[in-house]
Amino acid sequence: MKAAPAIALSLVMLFAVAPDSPAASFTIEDASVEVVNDIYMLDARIDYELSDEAVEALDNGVNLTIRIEVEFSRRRKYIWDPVVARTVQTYRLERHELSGRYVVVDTISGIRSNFGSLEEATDALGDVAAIPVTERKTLKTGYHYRGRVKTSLDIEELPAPLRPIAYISPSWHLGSGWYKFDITP
Amino acid sequence: MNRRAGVVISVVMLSMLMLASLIMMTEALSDSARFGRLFSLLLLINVLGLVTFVVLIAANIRRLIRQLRKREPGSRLTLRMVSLFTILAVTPVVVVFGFSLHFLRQGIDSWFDVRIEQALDDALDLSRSALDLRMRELLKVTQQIAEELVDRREPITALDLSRLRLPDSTMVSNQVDFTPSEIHNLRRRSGAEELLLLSDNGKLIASSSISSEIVPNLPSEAVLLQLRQGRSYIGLDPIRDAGLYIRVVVNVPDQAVGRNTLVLQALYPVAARMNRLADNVQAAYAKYTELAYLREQLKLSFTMSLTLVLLFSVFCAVWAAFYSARRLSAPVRDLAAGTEEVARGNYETTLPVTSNDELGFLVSSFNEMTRKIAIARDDAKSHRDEVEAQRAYLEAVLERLSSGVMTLDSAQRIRTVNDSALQILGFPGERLEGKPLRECVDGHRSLEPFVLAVEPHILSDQQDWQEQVIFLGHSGRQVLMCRGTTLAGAGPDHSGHVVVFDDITAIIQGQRNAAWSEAARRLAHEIKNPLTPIQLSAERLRHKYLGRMSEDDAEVMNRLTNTIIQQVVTMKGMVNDFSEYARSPRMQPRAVDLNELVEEVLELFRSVDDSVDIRTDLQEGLPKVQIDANRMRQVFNNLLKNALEARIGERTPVLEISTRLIQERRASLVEVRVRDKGRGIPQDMIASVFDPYVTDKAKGTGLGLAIVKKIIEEHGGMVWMENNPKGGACAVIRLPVDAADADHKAESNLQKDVV
Repeated sequence: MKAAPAIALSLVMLFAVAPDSPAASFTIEDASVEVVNDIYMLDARIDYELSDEAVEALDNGVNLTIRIEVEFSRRRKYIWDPVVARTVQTYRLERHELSGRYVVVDTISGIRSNFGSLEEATDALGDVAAIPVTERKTLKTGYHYRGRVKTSLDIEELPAPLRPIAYISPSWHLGSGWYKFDITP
Repeated sequence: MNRRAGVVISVVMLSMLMLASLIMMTEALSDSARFGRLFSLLLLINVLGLVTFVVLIAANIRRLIRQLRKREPGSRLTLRMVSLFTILAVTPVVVVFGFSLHFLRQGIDSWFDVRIEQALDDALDLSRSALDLRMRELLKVTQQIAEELVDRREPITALDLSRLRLPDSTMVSNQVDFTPSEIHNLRRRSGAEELLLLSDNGKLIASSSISSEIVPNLPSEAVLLQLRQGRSYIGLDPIRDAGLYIRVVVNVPDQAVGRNTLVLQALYPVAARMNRLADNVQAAYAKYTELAYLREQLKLSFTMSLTLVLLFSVFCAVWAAFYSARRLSAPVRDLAAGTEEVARGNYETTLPVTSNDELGFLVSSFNEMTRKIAIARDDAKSHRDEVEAQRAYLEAVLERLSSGVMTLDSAQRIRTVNDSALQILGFPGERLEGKPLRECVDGHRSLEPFVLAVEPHILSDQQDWQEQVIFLGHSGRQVLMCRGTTLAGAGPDHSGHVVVFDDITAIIQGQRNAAWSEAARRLAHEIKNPLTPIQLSAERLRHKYLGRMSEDDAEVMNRLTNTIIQQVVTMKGMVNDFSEYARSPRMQPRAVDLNELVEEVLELFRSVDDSVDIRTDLQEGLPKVQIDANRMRQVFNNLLKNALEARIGERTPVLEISTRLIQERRASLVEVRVRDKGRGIPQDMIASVFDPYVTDKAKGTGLGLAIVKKIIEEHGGMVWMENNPKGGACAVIRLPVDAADADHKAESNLQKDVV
């Protein structure tokens, strides 16, 4: 029966987790905020290194969505720190086969940037500049605040057939941990 | 029942949820935007649902195994039905699954065709080459513009944006020696949408754009690098939503410096139609490559979805099999349990009627049956109770009867016997039921007359007979009045005889005693009165005439009067005997050692007449008996006298007296034997020798032995006469040892006397 291995594989997919660890990862090298026109803006330097699987998928027309999450929380001594501001910025990385270029799309503004190579595209993507987080008045003077930022590949935005594999394969679990920095209003 | 309904509703809801999520999942796989994002959640819901089903089924299997081990009723039926339902439901589903999978994989494979792939590639190439031509033209145009600029260039300083702002979005550095309108014209002439003049390090010097709002689209670092190497850049750029643009970047040659210090970029829009077509080709190509790339994943996902559907169907079917098997077997299980209950005797079992099909009918029939059995049982019980009550009533009556009642079956086995019968026959407290009558009296030869009297009537099936039986009972001679009849019963088991007997010994004795007492009393009264005048008259005759008479006459007179007086004295003695017999002084019984009493009487005898050889054989340690010593002394006197009178001319009469304790049928008796060596008693007199006036002797009143008998009977004892085999007679006295019994006998005898 031809179906037998497929059934077995789907069962394995449902219950197993692949053991190998990827060389690829996203790393936040630096992040900071500054106030521009009474708005906190995030600047960060992120090193995006896509796994071979992700690159292959991208080259085969699969769009990759990358999320950047930013959170500001007020620091307290004994109890948990309440999150005072939170924003998510997403970028879509596309391959334009006709022109042979990689396109980075800011999903909020719709601005597209073209790059001749993937390195250029990821470099541009890693150069995060001026993501608006919150208004200045949100953060009150006299308190300590902590900002944290993380970036990841959004598996939920992948095409449905790819998602089950992506869930269990570490080469699709691309993301940085939280990068933390202090904010003094 | 509520819990079960809850479980069913939960499972149905879970199934609906799973079904809905499966449908949505399938939609998501078909690239539907609606459920695309929910795919993972749906997958999770399905997996959780399946796990729930597995747990439910596992619980059901465990329960079934436990029931099978306990051999609970209905469990084997449940197992069979579950297996059957499961096989029936799962087999077609699995077959359909196999084929579906096969078609699915084939179907997906058939989407992808090398020719289509080639066609798409070609279309892309065609688009590229179509654009290439245009791009080459535009390169030339741009290069011409760059050359035009060469003649007018000036050293470049910083950009004055405020000055450069012109209508139509043209800006020019103040150091450049051409006017904004010139660059504007250049742009218009070239047909570019945007024209930029930049320094070689990418700084904007002048720009002109058709649109007023858009920020200049600067070339990337890589493009500038390429230009620095002396190569012009030309490429397609998909910009914003406006579609494709052709970006041309060329160096503006600078003869003076000998190097390119300025860069010119022109953005040319692709013709709208061309743009649209290229866009379509790009989109189709992208979609196709994506699908081709995802082919295996797609197959896997569909297989997974199909597997989920299969598992869902199978699990649903298995659970439903369990549920319906349990529901179907529930009445059977109830019936089995109910039957067991009924077998155990619990007829109050009522089973719930859950359906109106054949099983429901069976259950209601069962209920009806148990109800009827319960009614029948209750009836039978009340009947039995009634019979039992009647039997108890009859038994009570029989027990209180002083008459003995005995029923015998056709084989002469004793069926029932009341206490009075046992008492009369001398088996108090024994159980004779079921024993043949003859076996009961074996070893009790004294009861032989009873059996001999009763047996012929029973054997001859005689109706209503009556017979008097005399036998030697434990308390002496007993006279029974037996009456009997055949019992007419249904079947041989219930036919038989009933024998009713009364101990009339005491009544007969009483009657006889009363008669004799009356006779004696009258005799004494009638005779005693004239005796004294006769005696006195004879004495007076003698006294008055003896002295006056001649010697001869006096002699005669003396002899005659002496005879009269002697005979009168004798008659007086006789009359005294009679009155003694008639008189019944109140007995004063006390515990007496019979041996002592015998010795005492014998001592008196020896002192009176020492010519008699009296031998004794007295058993040591005799228990004391309750007797009136005076009256008992008279008994021995009379017996000894009687024995001595029986001697036949021997020189020395021999008397033997023996005492011993004997046990007969649970009763302890003291026996005294007085034996003589005389001529014995004629056989025809031996039975009546104790009756008054029965004597074979020339002299005597014939009352001596009668008084003996009377006194012994008053003591509840027995006396009879035997002939010794070696000659001579033997009087045998038996007295009961039991004090209470002796008392009772004495008391009852007294009362009878009074009557």
